[in-house]
Amino acid sequence: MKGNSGEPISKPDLYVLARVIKTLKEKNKMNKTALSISTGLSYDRLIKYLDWMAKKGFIEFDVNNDVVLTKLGAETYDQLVKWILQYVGKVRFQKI
Amino acid sequence: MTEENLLDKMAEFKTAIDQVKKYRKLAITMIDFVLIIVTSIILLLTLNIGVNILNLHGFDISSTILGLLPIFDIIILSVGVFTGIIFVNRKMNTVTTLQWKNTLDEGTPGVLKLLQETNWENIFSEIRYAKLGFALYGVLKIVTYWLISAFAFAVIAGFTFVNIFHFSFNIGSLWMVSFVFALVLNAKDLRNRYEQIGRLDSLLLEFRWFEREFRRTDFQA
Repeated sequence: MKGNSGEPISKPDLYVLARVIKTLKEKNKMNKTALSISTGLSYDRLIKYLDWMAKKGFIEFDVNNDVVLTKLGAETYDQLVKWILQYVGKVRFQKI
Repeated sequence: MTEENLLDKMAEFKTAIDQVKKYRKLAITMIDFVLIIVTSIILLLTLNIGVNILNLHGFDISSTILGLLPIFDIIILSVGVFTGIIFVNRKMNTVTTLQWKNTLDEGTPGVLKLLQETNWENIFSEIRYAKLGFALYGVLKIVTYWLISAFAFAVIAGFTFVNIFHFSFNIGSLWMVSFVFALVLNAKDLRNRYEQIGRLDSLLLEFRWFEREFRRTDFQA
């Protein structure tokens, strides 16, 4: 997988992925520039992540080249949130 | 559990870690606290030895000054303890907290970021240090109270039993009485410390479990 510039992503940052997916979930579809601004990522970096996510089937590009979240992308994010909710919910943080 | 609950839970998690950081600072500051107490004891001993040496060498030191010497001792020791406690509190307040607040405001991605950035080994080590510092500070506090009350009782006993009733008193029992007095004065603090150390222990267990689960789950998409 190659990005528009520089090295492709070998190990994506989960935080960045979550930010991109969360923004797409809220806005449905977005063009790359707007998504870059919304997520606070540099355009180049966002492109690399979008390439990676498209390969994994989490997003796709429509006829206007806007970014659209796929069902798989939304489900993966929900699963991640579910895991966090489940495990963080189990931890008992006593007031110290 | 909703996302809102998750954020609350994460805030609790980070607050607990902030508190652990403060306790760790307490453990580090303990050395300074001991130095302040030791300095006040050295000052106290120097004063006592100095006055007695001058007295032995025939300097005219009034009986009032000699009589007030134990009161000076108590004042010096009390000032030392007071300074030590203030110093420790100030140092603990220098620990930066709530740095995670903005990240948490991002919602679930923020929670992920905070979890990813958590240095678990560092946290485990900080909890161990915090426990040590917390226990040592309690012991030191009792010893200091013990010393002050022993001096105070010696002065009171000296004035009342020896000067008024012409009784002698056992120095061993004086230490014992002052020790019990120090324990009674610190009873609530001791109980709190014991419970707090228990809470730190269970926090360590909870974190260990969570860290294991977090590592076991491979988040690579």
